[in-house]
Parts: sequence; C-alpha cells; structure tokens
Amino acid sequence: MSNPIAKFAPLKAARIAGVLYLIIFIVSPFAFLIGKSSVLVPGDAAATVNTILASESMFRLGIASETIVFLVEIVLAAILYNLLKPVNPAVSLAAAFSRLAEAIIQAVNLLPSILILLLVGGEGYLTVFEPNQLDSLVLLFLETYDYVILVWGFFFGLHLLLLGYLVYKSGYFPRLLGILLILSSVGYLIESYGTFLAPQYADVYATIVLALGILGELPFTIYLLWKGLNIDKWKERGPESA
Amino acid sequence: MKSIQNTARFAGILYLVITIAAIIAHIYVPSIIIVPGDAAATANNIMESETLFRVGVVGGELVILLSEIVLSVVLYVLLKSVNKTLSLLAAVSRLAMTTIHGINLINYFFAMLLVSGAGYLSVFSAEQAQSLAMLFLDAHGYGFTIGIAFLTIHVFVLGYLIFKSGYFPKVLGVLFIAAGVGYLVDSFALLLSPAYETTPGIIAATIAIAEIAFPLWLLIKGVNKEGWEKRSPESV
Repeated sequence: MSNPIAKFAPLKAARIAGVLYLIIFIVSPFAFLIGKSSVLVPGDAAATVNTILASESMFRLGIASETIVFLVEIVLAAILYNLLKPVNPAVSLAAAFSRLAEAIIQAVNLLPSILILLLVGGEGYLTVFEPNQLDSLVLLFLETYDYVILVWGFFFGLHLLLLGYLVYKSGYFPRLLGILLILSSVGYLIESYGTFLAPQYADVYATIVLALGILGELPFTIYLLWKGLNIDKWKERGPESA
Repeated sequence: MKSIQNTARFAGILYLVITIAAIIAHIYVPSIIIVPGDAAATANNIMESETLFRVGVVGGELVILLSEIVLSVVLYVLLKSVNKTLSLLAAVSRLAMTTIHGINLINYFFAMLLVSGAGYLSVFSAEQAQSLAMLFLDAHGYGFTIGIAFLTIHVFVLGYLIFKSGYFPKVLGVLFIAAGVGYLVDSFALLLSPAYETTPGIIAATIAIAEIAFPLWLLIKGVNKEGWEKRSPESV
C-alpha cells in the first residue's frame, strides 16, 4: 500500500465497532419495545389505536430509534468486513452482505409504521371508512411489522453464523466469542423458522432469542470496547493489511 | 490515467441521467397525476393516464435505480484510493438507498391495483378503494424519505473523501457536507414531525448546488492528473 491514509488501523476500527454495537444495544429497546410492543393490544384494534393516539410521540420516537439502528448497522457492516477480511475475504463479504440486507429490511419495515401513522392521522380521504375499519387496518399493519421482523431474522441469523465462524477462526479474537455468536445466530434462526412453521410456541422462541442474542453479542461488544483485538495475532494473520 | 478520466466522465453522465429521470419521475409526472388530498381525482388521473403513470413514474424510477447501482460502484472506484473503508461505506449506503427505493415501488403497484377495478375489489365501495390507493401513494412519499436517510451517510462520506482526495476541488467536498446536513434535517423532520410537510427552499438549494456542481465538474474537468498520480501511483 503506497499511501499512508489508505492504511487500515485495526485496533481503532475494533474500538469503533464496539462503540457502534453499544449504540445499537442502547437504542434498540426504544425502537422495538417502547415504539411497538408497548402500543400493541393483541387482538383489540380499537384499544391499540387508542394507545397509539395517546402516545403518538412515543411511537414516533420508536421510528427515530429504528432509523438510528439501521444507519449504524450499515457503518458497522463495512467495519466488520475489514476487521475479518484477513480470515477469509469471501466469507467476510458474505457476512457484510447479509448484515447490509438485514439493515435494508429494517428500513423497509418502517413502511407499516408509516401506514399506521397515516391511518390514525385522520386524512380527509379516509372518512369513507368506518372508524372500526381503520382500526382494523392499523392492527393489520402492526402485525405485518412483526412478520417482517421474522424475515429480518433470517438475514441477521446468517450474518451472526458467518461472523461467529470468522471470529472463531481469526486467532485475534477469543474463540469463545465466536461460539457465543453462533449460539445467538441459532436463536434468531429458531425464532424465524419456528414462528413460521409452528407459531403456537412463539413466546418460547421470543425468550430464546432474547437470551441467546444478548449472550452472543454483549460479550463481543465488551471485548471490542475493552481489548479491541489481539494486535500481534492480527499482524501474523494479515501482514499486508497491518 | 486516461481510463480514470473516462470513469469520471461516466460518473458525470450517470448523475445527469439520474437528474433528468428524477425530474420526470419524481416531480413532473406526479404533479400531473397526483392531486394531494383528493383520492377520487387522483384515482381518475391514474386510470385515464395509466400509460403515463407506468412509463413516466415507474419506468423513470427504474432508470434511476439501475443507474444508481452503477454509480455506486463507479464512485467507489473513483474514491477508494483516498480511503477504502470509507468509500466502501459510501457505496454500501447508496446501494441501500437504491434497494429501498426499489421496494418502495410496491406502494405504487398497490395504488394501481386498487384503482384497477378488479372484480375481487368490488367488496369495497369505489370511494374506499380510492382512499386506500391514496393511502399507499402517501406511504410512497415516506418510503422515499427512508431511502434518503441512507443517502445522508453516503453524502457525508462522499464529501469527506472528495475533500481529502487532492484530485477534486476541496470546495466540492464542503458543498456535499452541507448537502448532507440538509438531507439529514429534511429526512428526519419528514419522518418525525407531522408539522413538517415540505422541504424549505434553503435546504433544497443547498442539496441542489452540491448535486449539480459535482456532476458538472466530473463532466468538464474529471480528476486532477497530478493529484490522482500522487494518490495512486500504481494505477497510472
């Protein structure tokens, strides 16, 4: 590499990845729990709409949090790609692609929220529907949102599987972190496949994914922030990129 | 050196194609067909000018999206010698915007299907079907803004890379960073504040200046020879 600015500084990149992960950990609860779960009254369209109307700014705050999460995801995908490229460039690229796809699906999943805001917003042209018809449409879109999250889970599960493999093989991250990431990948895949194939156990899957998700990604985040990576092993692995 | 000049010109041409198609697909044709707040008039316009809607809006959007994919890669090639990670980030975020805008076309297809008068829709009154069509047209506008949120990252990074490059004028980088602020404020305000409905002129102008100046520079001047050779001697 002839030009000093184009050099990749692995320790700094690892720390930045840790900070981005931390932002996702802090903002995600706002996005998914406060923005969505707290307004949904299962099976009761009218009550759900009342909750949304009573806490519309909370609902909008949830949307804002989601935008922060998926924008951070894009940056994180590019940084993780470079951090793990020395292990296997093709697998690292596949991991980046699946993380990119996952972020795009999250962004597209703002559409149901926007349709909901339009439906409760009382546009004049909507008066041709009875209020209970509009409420019913709101619940329909709110439940669509939940299903898109399952589609998201396929891509995120694949990403974590590849990331876990790369971390395990790297030599510059502890192997245990790779195993934990693969475990959380299994959690997301169980939730997505399970809910489509055997929806009656949805609550069980949700518990599994929460437990395994935190178990896999929190230690990785802490390691990135605290240690970054093992720089000696990095230099052994990718002398040309050090 | 000759090939990088061709790459720069090609990027300029793609920008130009996107601008012309965007004026047709995002501004001109919608202004003829969509009557804000009037579901019945809008539905009639879509039915009467269905070809115009399909060719002008959907077809125009496809021209934009396919050019955007190529432009993402071409800009990556133009700027990777400044910083590989950041130019990858710029390419990926522009690609993400393009993908979202592609999926966002589903809202237009919902609207076209709803006003098509298909038999299975007769369980709704005509007004109800038209109202739903209007709902999806409104949703399309917001879907577009979600894509722009990703363009915000692209534009900030692009501005930084141009500024650092040494083979593009620094002022173009500064203009893009100003445009990035404009995109950021505009997209977040449109998504989050019900009171913010139209983009203020000052923001539109800031964005337009950067998005016009850079393509013109690419077409007329391309990259600065010495600056480029200093940056990537192996590619000469």
